[in-house]
Amino acid sequence: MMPGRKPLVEIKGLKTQFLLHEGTVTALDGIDLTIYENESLGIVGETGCGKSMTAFSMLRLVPHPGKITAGSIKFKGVELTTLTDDEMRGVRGRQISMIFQDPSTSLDPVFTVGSQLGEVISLHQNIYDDEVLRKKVMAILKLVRIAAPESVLKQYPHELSGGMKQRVMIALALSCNPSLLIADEPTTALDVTIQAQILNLLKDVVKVAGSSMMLITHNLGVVAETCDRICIMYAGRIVEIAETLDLFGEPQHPYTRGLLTAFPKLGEKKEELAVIRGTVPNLMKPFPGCSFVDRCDNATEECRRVRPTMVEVRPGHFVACHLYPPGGALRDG
Amino acid sequence: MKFRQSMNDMLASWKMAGGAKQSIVDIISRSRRNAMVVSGTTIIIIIVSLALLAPILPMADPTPAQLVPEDALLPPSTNHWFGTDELGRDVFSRVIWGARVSLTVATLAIFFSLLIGVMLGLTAGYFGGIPDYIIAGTIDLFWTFPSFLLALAFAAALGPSLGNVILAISISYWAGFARLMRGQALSVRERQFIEASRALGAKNLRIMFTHVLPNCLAPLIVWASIGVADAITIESSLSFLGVGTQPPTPSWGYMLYRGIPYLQEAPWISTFPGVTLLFTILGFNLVGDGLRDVLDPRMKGMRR
Amino acid sequence: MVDALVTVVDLQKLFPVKKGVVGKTVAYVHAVDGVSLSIKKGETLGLVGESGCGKTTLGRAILRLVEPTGGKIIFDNKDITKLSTRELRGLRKKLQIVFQDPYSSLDPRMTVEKIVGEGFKIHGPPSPITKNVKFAERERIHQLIEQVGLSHDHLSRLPHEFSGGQKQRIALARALALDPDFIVLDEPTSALDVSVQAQALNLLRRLQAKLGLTYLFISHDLSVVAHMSDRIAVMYLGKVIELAPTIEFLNNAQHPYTQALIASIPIPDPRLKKHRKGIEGEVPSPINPPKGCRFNPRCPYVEKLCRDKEPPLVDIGNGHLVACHLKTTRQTAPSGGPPHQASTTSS
Repeated sequence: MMPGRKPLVEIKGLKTQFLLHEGTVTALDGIDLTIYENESLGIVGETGCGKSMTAFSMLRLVPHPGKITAGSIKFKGVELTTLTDDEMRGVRGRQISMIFQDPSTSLDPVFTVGSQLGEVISLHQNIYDDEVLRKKVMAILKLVRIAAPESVLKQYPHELSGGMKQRVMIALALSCNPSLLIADEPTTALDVTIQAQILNLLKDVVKVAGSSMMLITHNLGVVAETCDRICIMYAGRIVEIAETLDLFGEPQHPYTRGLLTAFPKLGEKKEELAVIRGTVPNLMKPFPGCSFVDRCDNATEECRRVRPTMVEVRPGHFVACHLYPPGGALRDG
Repeated sequence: MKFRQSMNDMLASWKMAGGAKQSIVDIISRSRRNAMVVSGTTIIIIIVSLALLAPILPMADPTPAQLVPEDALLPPSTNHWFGTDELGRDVFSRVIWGARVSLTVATLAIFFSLLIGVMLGLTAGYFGGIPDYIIAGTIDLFWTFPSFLLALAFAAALGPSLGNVILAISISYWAGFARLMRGQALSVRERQFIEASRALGAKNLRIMFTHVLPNCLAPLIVWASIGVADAITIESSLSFLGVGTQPPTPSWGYMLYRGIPYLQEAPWISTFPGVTLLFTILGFNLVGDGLRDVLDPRMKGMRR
Repeated sequence: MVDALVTVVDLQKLFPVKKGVVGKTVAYVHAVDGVSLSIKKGETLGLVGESGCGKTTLGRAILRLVEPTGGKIIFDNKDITKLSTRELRGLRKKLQIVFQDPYSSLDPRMTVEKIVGEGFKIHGPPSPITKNVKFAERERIHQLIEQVGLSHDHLSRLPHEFSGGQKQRIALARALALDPDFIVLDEPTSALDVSVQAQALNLLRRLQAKLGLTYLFISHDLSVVAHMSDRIAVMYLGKVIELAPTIEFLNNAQHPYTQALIASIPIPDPRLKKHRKGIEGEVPSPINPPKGCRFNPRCPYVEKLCRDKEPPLVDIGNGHLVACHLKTTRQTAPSGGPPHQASTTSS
């Protein structure tokens, strides 16, 4: 908890599981997370760590056979897990919106950009006057820095490039002034030069709108530039949360450190990249202790038996690792 | 939405991690859990066993040399489970022997259709260009004719006999398999492991049979099963019209036809062959539909 | 280059764009539009660029997996551009490729053993044949599997039982089976997680040192390319616009596009919070490339000359080649120092 800042989303003990014939997969294993107003939070992790699943759980979009089996998600004080479907629909798109990695499949190919944007705005803001609608659509296209918005209005999605489509998606997502924008790997499918444009856009636009942003990615470079705080996830659990400068400057969790060194950095010509040995654990097998235990150089017996709790090691910097037991007595590590 | 697809991938990878294999073992185990496959297979096993065992079952002779007219039109009893027909023959026995005919014709017909269809479809889909142009055109030509009418025309032209019925069905049915195979080959040949084989220096023939064909089998099996059901229907229809299996060889279609004048007084003559026909077709259709769900849930919605 | 293993001269690949019922060719996709470069034996040449630049097509064209529409390919001092399919087949042993997508580059119906051993079924068993053919093949497959870090009990499994990283190892083993000299690595780690990528890259380096391999490393990720390559080439809309040894490349990039590319890379270090301006505009389509320098619509330093004349690839010393009027026509001293830098880079 950060003093003096108002929380927007409070997640406590969130558990999301998939009941398959072959076994139960625990995609999220007790997540505690707070997103504050007016902040950009980055969620970083590798495939299967649960970062996307956190977003889906928040929006209650977890597909069958998965379900939220425990925990609470409070949005502006309202408990989301107990809302009805209708009430949830009022939240999605209006209070919390989401943009995805591949904009091609999120836009309807048979309608023009203008009509899709117009439809969303008119539905959510109850505007039915064509002229007013058109003005609003133009305004939002300009907001996402689309050059020549008059012609883009009339174009179909397949006529646009990847970067443009993603801008339209951002426009759609922001059209109802949501308090929280979730971006799930928004630039992974884009070229690097376009990626830079879109990330800058996201940063600016969210700030102007006064919304918070939850940026999900596997790329540490992306969050370094775009986010205020970063949360590192591993195997369905959160292992570290800290403000950006602090996380990169003083990474505490062995996994975070491993990730940072495994990233080939421009200009540092090393012979071999330091690797994290081993592979991601099987989410179907429950592990009582720390999920990183088989890959950690500092692992002990306690790590295998007992699950570490999140401890605030520095102001605003939380780690879940036995190297940092609660009580502040730091081990040598 | 895209996340649904990535969700499916995630689910699939978890299932794999949990030990599920797409090997035969896994397919069999999933089939055992599928109600359609189980019920369909049960029906097929019953009919096929009876058909195969017909010669040694203690039944009456389905085509007796000497007819006993006094036995005609007897209702079902312990002597004659399905009653007797207008010539005094035991209906039950004729139904079972009729199964042999239907199953033999259908299986052989589908087998030949598969052979021709798969070869041509594979060639067309894999090579594209001129071969594809020619073959696809031919497929379309045969495809537009309803298979039954085509079979009827051929049977009528070639003269009614068992062999000709098989030929007629094959000629009309190969187009369906070829079309399916062609579509499958077209999509499989674009996959990267095909390019990888080329990079290794593989010849086209090798790629076609080692890589493309095995990856197209799933829908073929489904269609073959449904095809057998279809072929049985066609054979019965042809026999019903008199251009299929010729009497006195028992055939469900012909039995149906002969029983029509007696529907009021001796309904069992048509009813029992009809119901057996229904169940047999149902069985093959169930297996086909069920296998489709088991092998690839994404194939849902595919229709002939 | 004397010790060049692979050389391409003016390589060109145009794809026709057909429209209409008759399939009339209305335009061409200039995927690769006159590329000349050499790859030295034992080196790793990195090839970067964004979508539509032609790097993937170039990699395939060198292997003649797509047939070039112009130019020459020279391998081991032999012109292989016009070789017949039969003659080329034998050569395939020496030139191999590892693809980007591990999920589709392995036949899902074949076991690992069959996948890795496919080369032997095509070209014959590996020598030396000790006991019998089957034994020789098995031995070699076991050796390959170990080399890429997998174990023997993986051999009877199917591809979908493996993770992305392991699949790439299998693909690598397959490529190594025939003892190649040259491997095109087409985005080999792009689909992998960061930690898995690190393992894969280390493996590639170790194998290169051990087996004396030559790599063409294609990727859109400049950080990875810079880590792996001895020299780096940048492609834009079908042409190579800059080529230099890695250190020179990173410290002294000349072409405005290269500079923007380097500036656009997200760096995992928040202290270097550059206000990245990046470049404006979209990546154009290779169907009708702009007249003159292909980068001119997006170049912040564009001048009239750039719109009229296409700049040639010029050697500016230190093994550094650039195709840019501004950086080459103003060369002052012939001592090979980098030319006068204009209002340069984004900070």
